[in-house]
Amino acid sequence: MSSPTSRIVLDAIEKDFGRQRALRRISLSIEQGEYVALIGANGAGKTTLLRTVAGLSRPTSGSVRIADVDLRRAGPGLRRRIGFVSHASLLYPELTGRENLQFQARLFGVADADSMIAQLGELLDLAAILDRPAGELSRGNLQRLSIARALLHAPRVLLLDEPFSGLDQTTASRLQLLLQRLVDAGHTVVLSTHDRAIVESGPHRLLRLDDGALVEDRVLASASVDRHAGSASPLLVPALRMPPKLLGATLTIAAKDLRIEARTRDVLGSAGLFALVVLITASFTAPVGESSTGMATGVMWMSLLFATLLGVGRSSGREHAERGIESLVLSPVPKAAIFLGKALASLLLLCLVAIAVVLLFIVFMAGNAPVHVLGLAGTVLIGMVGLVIVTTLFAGIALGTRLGESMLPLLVLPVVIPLMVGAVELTRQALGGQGGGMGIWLALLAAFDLVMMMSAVATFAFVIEE
Amino acid sequence: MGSEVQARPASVEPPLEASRSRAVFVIVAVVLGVVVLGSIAVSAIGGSVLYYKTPSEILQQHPNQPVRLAGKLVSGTQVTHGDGSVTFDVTDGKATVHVRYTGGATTALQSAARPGAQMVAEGALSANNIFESTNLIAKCPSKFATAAPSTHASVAAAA
Repeated sequence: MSSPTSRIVLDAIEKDFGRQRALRRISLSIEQGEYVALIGANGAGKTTLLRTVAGLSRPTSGSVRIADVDLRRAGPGLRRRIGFVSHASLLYPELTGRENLQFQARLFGVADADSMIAQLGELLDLAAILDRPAGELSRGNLQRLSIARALLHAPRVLLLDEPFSGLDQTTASRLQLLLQRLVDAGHTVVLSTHDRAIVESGPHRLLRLDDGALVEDRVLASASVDRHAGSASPLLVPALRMPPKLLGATLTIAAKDLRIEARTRDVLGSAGLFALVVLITASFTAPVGESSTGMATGVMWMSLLFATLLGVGRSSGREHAERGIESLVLSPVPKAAIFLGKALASLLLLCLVAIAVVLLFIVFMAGNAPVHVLGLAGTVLIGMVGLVIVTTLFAGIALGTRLGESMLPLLVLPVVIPLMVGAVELTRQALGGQGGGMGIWLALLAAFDLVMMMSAVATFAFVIEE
Repeated sequence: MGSEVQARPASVEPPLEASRSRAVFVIVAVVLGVVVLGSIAVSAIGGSVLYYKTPSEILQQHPNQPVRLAGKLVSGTQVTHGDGSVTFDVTDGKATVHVRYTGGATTALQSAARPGAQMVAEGALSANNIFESTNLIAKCPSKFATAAPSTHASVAAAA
């Protein structure tokens, strides 16, 4: 390790949700190897504090430093020092436990994923659930899998938000022992709990929150008994390589989405069916041979636009089912890769939808009109790239809001007006057999795509953070 | 409870702190994005929007500006020439504009000849006050029809 300790320092942290103040000027320091219990009534701010230290929630004021690095400037090395167990599992319900862990191992650069999964399987008794879809697991089993996810890269700092909830007595005892051994091996553990027995059975230090303020910070009696943090041999030692960079991480995230789609056919089913129904319905209102009018091509592009909204909305919705998106934010991969991976997978799927839509459009509405094939293919590709980029970016915003998916069209439609105008005009020309005047429009659309891509890459990290 | 494992060779440690170049990229991208997007939106929307003008309004504007001429077809003025072009007059009751259409086969003129139908021609007024058009739309009370390939006639007949 380049930095000897992973000390956590909170300096005057405050966090507001609208007019509600969730954290009130909390300052404290947690040394490496400490075992800290965080207690407080419901709504006291325990979860918000842990999410802030994990880097999932940006403080309204104040700063969090881990290993002397401000969390706002956390690089991949610092991200890899943190493990977080949340209320949600941060797993993908459509993937099996093993597939979820393998995906996480790729993101964190764990070279010996199979060996680590086997080791964690033994520690947390996962054998019976590793090859079942996470969505089929009980609350307790999902919690065990989530703990394995957080431990996979052997983080120096382990943050656990009520990790014992849902666990049976045997598993809870296993976890208590595991946490103690991690502390003995030098890991920092901070857990929130309502269970006084847990507080008294291991943690060295107690923090109590009340209405967002730190009202008690004391050393526990149990801390004096057999405390020799860092003296034991390491419990988990994964072989770590550099985490994937932009391209590798993009492909990893896209492959995950395509694997889920292959299993559910959710995007293709909903978006494809929707686009085709709109197109076929519209074909009854326009005579054959009218394909080169702005109105007919407008109908085609509107069906593709709403198919994109539906498809990308579904794909982003999956990220929020068990908050899988947060596992991506916590990982050491470039945040731009999250956007690019999601967009790439959606683009590949929605291009299949677009091909079917355009072919049917020509059959139903173009009749014998001449078609400039290259121009049409270029238009559809560049148009779909633009639609997917804009929709993926705004899905990150919309799905974090209370209105969710219904908010998405309201955000996307005003932004894609220039794209739709250009795509309709280009399609009209291509279906009229005219390729001559398409160059400038194609260039404008490509410029739109490029600008939106740069804007999305630049802002997506901010968009998906709380 | 599980087994301990042997320590493996030293792992690769990526940087703890993010590089500053990313922040610069974010600022440059956002500024560039706003500027270029604005330019594209203005040029794309500005170039594609064609306003409807009546014959009276068109005769008062400067020539060679792309525009949509809307009015009624003056019956009996339609002439098909040897080079395939069609000429006809369009009126709003106050003024009349002579139109030369060179966009190829169309059924729009037949549709526009119906009672109550309006003719929309896309094009521009030339210096000699002839409206040069390459796209015609017959704007009927219930539907649009436009310049169309030959299949249109057969469908209309079948209907």
